[in-house]
Amino acid sequence: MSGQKRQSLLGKLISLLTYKPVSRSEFVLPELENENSRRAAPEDKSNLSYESEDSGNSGKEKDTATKKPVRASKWNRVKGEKGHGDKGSRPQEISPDVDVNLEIIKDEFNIPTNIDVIIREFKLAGMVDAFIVFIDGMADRGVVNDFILRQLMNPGQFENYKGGCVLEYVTGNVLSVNQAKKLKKYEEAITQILMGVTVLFADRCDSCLAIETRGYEKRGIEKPATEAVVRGSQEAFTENLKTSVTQIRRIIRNKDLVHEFFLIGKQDNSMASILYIKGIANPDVVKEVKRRLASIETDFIAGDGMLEQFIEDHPWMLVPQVLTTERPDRTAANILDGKVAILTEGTPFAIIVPANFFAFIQTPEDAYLRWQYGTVLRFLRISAFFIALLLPGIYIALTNYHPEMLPTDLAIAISKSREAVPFPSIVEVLLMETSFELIREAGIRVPGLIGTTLGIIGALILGQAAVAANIVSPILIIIVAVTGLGNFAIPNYSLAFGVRILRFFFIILGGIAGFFGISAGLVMLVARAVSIKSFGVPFMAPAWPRAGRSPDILTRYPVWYQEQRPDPISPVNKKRQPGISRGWVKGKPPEGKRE
Amino acid sequence: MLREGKIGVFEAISVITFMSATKVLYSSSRALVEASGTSGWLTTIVSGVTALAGFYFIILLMSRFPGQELVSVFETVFGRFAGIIFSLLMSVFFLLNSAMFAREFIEAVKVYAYPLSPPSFLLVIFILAIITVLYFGFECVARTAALFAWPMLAGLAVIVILAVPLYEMSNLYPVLGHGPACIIKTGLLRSSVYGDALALAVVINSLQGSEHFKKSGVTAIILSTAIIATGFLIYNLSFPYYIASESTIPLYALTRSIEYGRFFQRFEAIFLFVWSISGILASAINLYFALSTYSKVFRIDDHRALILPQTVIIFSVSLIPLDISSIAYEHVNHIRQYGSAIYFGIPLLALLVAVIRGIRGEQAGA
Repeated sequence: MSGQKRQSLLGKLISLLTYKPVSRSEFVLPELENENSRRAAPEDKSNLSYESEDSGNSGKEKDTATKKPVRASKWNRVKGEKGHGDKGSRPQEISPDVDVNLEIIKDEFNIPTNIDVIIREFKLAGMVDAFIVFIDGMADRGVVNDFILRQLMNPGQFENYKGGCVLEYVTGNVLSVNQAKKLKKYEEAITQILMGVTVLFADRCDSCLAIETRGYEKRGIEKPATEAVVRGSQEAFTENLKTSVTQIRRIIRNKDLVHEFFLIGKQDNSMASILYIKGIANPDVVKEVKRRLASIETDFIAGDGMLEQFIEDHPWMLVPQVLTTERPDRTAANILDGKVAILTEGTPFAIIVPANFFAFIQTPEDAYLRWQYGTVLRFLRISAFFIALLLPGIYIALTNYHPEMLPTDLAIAISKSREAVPFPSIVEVLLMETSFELIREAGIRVPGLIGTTLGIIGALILGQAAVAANIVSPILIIIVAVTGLGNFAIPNYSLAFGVRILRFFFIILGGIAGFFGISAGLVMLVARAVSIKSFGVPFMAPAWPRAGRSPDILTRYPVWYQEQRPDPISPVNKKRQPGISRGWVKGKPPEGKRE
Repeated sequence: MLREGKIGVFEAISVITFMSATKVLYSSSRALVEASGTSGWLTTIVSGVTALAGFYFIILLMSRFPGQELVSVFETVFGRFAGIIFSLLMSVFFLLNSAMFAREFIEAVKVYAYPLSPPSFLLVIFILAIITVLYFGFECVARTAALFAWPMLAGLAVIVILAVPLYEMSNLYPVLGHGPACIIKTGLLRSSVYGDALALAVVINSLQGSEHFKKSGVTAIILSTAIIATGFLIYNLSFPYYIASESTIPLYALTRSIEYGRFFQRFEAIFLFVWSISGILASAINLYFALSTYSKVFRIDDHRALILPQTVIIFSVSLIPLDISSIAYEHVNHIRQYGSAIYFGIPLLALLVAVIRGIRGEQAGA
């Protein structure tokens, strides 16, 4: 912020007209060395690096410098301890003195003000001072009582203890929980505690023990709310990150499915996971995802919607550039295509990158249905996209500029219906479109059944009343209703939202210059769409630019025909299945069973 | 150095086809009908074949200088000063083409669809669309052209199919129109219609190798010839000569005549999409090549700095012709007739000089 001056209004206006040199810091996905051999998998996948070049520059590490300083008394005590780091203004390494640790933990968690952080002090085997820390409600009390405290406080468990740091002995002989990990730093311990893990500190140990006790209340797995299908899996993600990752692991039982973990929000320590398959996903895409996630510096990330805004390539575009889904099966299918999935704690959605336009008009059901049905549905959806985008604009253009195109009977019918309406048709359309958007918004905000009722009743009554009051013509009600249906048929919520806004742009263009205006608008829209990228992959690929043979863009060919993974994302292993994946067509039925 | 990105063969073909084939949609085709009578389609095939021969010399020239684009080749062959003059001549020609496309389009829509709208208002919308396309660079120009290629071809195919009931074979007679000599003479003179393939040499480094250059150029010329010849053929088939030579915009007049029963008639407005999008793209592509040539001549790294000034020039130049008659009979006619000198003449001269002086590109000599 220092050194930056606020621009005056005049300065801003001048900057709009002034030439600025092009900024070329956009991520470009380079082609792989084996780009020409589509069918060849690399001989040795082990040398592919999935580590971000600047992963050390993560937001979390930078974060330490801004943490609250420790008290002077504590600092003086800790400073003398051997091996303690001096990074920032408080110690990093855990002290062998349990009292120091207790004080630091209390200070960090604002105890006793903070009431849900439980610190339980006790003597290990009746002789070593120790304490455990956990957050009430995040950790499972049953596990803490029955499998940690009971055993740690039982002197009988320590009969073979020979001295030294007790944590080694505890891990190997005392605790009967499935995960226990030694941590060396306070920051790691604090993060684990915030996630529901119980941490054990003991005297004369310069480390602590993170014991798995996560057990908070969470919602069960339910049916997808926005991506329901007739055929196919009926389960959606939940808000719990671990459950969501498990759901994907249940589908992709592959040792190369890699799950990496990031902490993003500075204040809320939001968790985000990335999943990809080593050997299929392009390492450059994975590194880029990690680079973007690691570079985020913000207080608070409440799930995928906020994270999307932090990592997308073109935040000013109306169309989304990452695919969001609530379905584990769709996420798994995309991971298997070579894409990277990002899951966040707190929202039941996965972000899939890179994404292109065609992914937004596809649904999981396309793959489950036979290819003919899937193809017809896709064409229906693309028609819906154009109806939602252009229909009101075309109506305005027709009635204002090209009435000769209307058959005489229809033109008379429209004229009659508009006879008593005092407004020009563009005002009519804007009025109705705005009302429609209002009804939709109100319907969502009003809870439960009332919302649905409000939507239907509002539309019926408002439409009927508007016609009766001669504010709008009946034909316009049909136009707005069909446009609304078209909008609802777009499977992706973000894209549908973008179309809702763009529609007004085309209404205005149709109003000022008819079909010519709409054509000019289409050229502008397409020019923008073909020039943007999602994580280095052109948004309109694989059609514009053309990238490989793809039997799954608009027309969905049979699944056995889809031999290659999508080419634009440059997966390391392009081959999905052999040329003849249905082995039985090569062979012959047994003797006597042939016609 | 201007960074133009990479494009594929399909995109290159789309770019050149939009530059060439769009001409059939506007007023200049009327001049050809008048010049060659009922044999317009044959005349344009002669032009196409001539353009292919001309393009062969461009291929020869570029293959002597691998890795160099046309502006650089001119500088190598003619020297810096003369090279700049020839390159600027080319740039101005592209600019002129762009301006004439803009004006032809505006006149066409004004006559048929927007009689009350002032041309400058229509031109502003036209130019705004051009600016948007150009702003995002050559890759965007090429991809936009590629995206609209199929819908535009489909639109033309629909016109061809729907006009079938209007076809009358007798309208095509005499097949040779004003005679073979006229066909050959007019065909040779108007070969510049397909000379736009030269533009590929300006951006040859964006194509993936010289093979792509040859393939894209030849295919684009053949495809454009097929489209324009089909346009003339169906127009001549649909109207007798004495009516055919009177339409301001021949193909648009044809779409107005299509009707199927009471419900499907006068739906030429639908084809306004084909006219508008083709016109905007043809003008934008020509302007891009003007910008690209200019930028390369003066070593300008970013073409975006030139967009606004150049579009202002386009706006002014396109409003110079008085009316549609002066556009069709003077400006555009002169461009078509003398354009070959720019499109094929300068490269041919460069090739001759290169051969005589034994100049080759650095990589070719290596």
